[in-house]
Amino acid sequence: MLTCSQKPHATQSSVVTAPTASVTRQRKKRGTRLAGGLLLLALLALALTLSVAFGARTVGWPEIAAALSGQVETIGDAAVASRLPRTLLAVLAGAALAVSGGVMQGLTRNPLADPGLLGVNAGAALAIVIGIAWFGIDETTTYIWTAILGAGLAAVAVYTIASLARGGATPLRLALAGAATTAALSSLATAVILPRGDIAGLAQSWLVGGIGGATYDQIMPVLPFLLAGFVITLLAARKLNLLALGDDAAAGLGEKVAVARAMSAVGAVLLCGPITAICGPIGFVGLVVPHACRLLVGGDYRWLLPFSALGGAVLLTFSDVVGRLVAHPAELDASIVTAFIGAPVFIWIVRNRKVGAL
Amino acid sequence: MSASSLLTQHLTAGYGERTILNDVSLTVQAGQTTAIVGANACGKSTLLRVLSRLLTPEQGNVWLDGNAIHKLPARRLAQQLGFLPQSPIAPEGITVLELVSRGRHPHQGLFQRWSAADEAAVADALSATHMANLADSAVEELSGGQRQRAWIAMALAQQTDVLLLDEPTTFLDINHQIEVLDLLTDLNQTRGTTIVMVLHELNLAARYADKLVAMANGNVYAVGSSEDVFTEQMVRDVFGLESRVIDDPVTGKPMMIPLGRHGACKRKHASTADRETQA
Repeated sequence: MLTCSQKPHATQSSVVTAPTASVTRQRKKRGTRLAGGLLLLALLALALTLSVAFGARTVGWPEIAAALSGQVETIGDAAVASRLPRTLLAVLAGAALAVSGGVMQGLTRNPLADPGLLGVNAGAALAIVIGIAWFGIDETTTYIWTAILGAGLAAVAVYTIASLARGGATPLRLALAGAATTAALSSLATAVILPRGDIAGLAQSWLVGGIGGATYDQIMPVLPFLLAGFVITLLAARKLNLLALGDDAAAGLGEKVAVARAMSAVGAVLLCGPITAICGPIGFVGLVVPHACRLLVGGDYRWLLPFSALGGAVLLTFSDVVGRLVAHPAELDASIVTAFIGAPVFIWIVRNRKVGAL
Repeated sequence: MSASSLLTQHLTAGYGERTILNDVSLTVQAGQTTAIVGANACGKSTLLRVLSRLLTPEQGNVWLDGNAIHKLPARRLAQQLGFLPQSPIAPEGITVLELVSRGRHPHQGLFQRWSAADEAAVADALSATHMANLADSAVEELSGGQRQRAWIAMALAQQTDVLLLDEPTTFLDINHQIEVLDLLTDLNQTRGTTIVMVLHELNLAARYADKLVAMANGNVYAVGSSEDVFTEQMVRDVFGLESRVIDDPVTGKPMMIPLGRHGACKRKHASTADRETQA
């Protein structure tokens, strides 16, 4: 290969400016990322503090300190202690759902994709409803496996339906198949619950989705799945960057498109399936957070996914706190709050910026 | 960088039940620019997809320097052979620099960091395509010609010996078409990159390609220099079009003027007008 200086255009100033421009740009970008990351961390710290400090019972600093150090003596201490696991769950669920949504947007190249749209949440929900109604499941671990099974089956079904036509599973076909499957599975879930008055209340409260009443016993079984999900999706980040250029261009750059899609999908299902199992379907986090983070760090998934994890944790923790405060002394489920916060944010994003091709 | 040649033998390929390519044997010479021309649905894009391994042939194989490409690991193939699809999609907000950097993918391991070689390859690709001063611009804000140059820069950063392009000039104004084809010729001449492209515009194909491949009905109709292949007979057989082929006054290569149903008519008007002036 010839070097720059041997080429006929070497005299052009562009040869000289190339490295300088790229370095300046990278510095500027690094600055934005650093500032954004610090901002998200600060917001997360604030959300964590509020989540521990506020709730149905008003507590003071001594009780918070006591609960954090593990000494539960008064009712106030106990109230704070009970907020710790739900705060942890809010952080985990928010991060998992946001990353899962970002991955699904990347792998379908569809800006509106999220675990809700691709039929994954509906699949998990139907599996759990069937489990409750027909098999009487009541253990957390069983819930998780049932949900992962349902989510996985739904994802495979959606992908298969989308692949049937010539040309394979394009983003548009995936979105259509996902929407149709979601509608069908949700109707089935309703059909399963309707004749069963005895479980209607249980299934209904689960279907609304929330993180109140979480215990460590519930959270522990989810952790290995989430860990696997985070690792897989982060490893898939570079593949998502290539898929964003279109299947043909990605293949031309040496990526096995089917493998990249499958790997990302497995990671996304491992993140949203277990969360749906213990929280019920929580919408908007997976949709809104990755878009908001795109404004901050751009479309590079190696940055987008970690930032989405932080952003999702912040959004869901705040939503949970707000849910505890607005209906005081009762509580509003976090999923209802995320819809109230998420919908306007989403509309704002769509209006301010073309949420176009990814 | 040594030039690489591509070879197909008895290639049959298609989509499902539909066979598009039928027993195609073709040799692409190393270091040359080859243009594939033909009517719509003659199989030229399908041939390019098989050459770039996007489509697996039902029979036959594609050989790159003696290696069957369908047996090479994907990453290794991508180090030797680049492919630019027709009207590729740029993700929203991506800058030229980011796009070109993604061309380094086949040279990077899973945990490998951005290296000096990567940086040099990207800077080199940007300067070769005159895109260095636009490195920070968003791809979506560029003109059609600039956008195509950005994609070509991405393919250059891939540093392959062979570059396949599917209709790189489609949707471009004539000045941008010339700009892109001039750029590809520069690459071929300075780096010895073997270039294979599908082109719609016959006259441009004849002008820029060392070798013309005319395709009809899923097979190769003729291969050779444009002087040998580009005849009125070929245009008639391949495109079903009556034409005059004359020497291009600028390059001396053949160029085609379609007759059409109204071409002769206008000439008659002109001669009538001439006669009236004379009278």
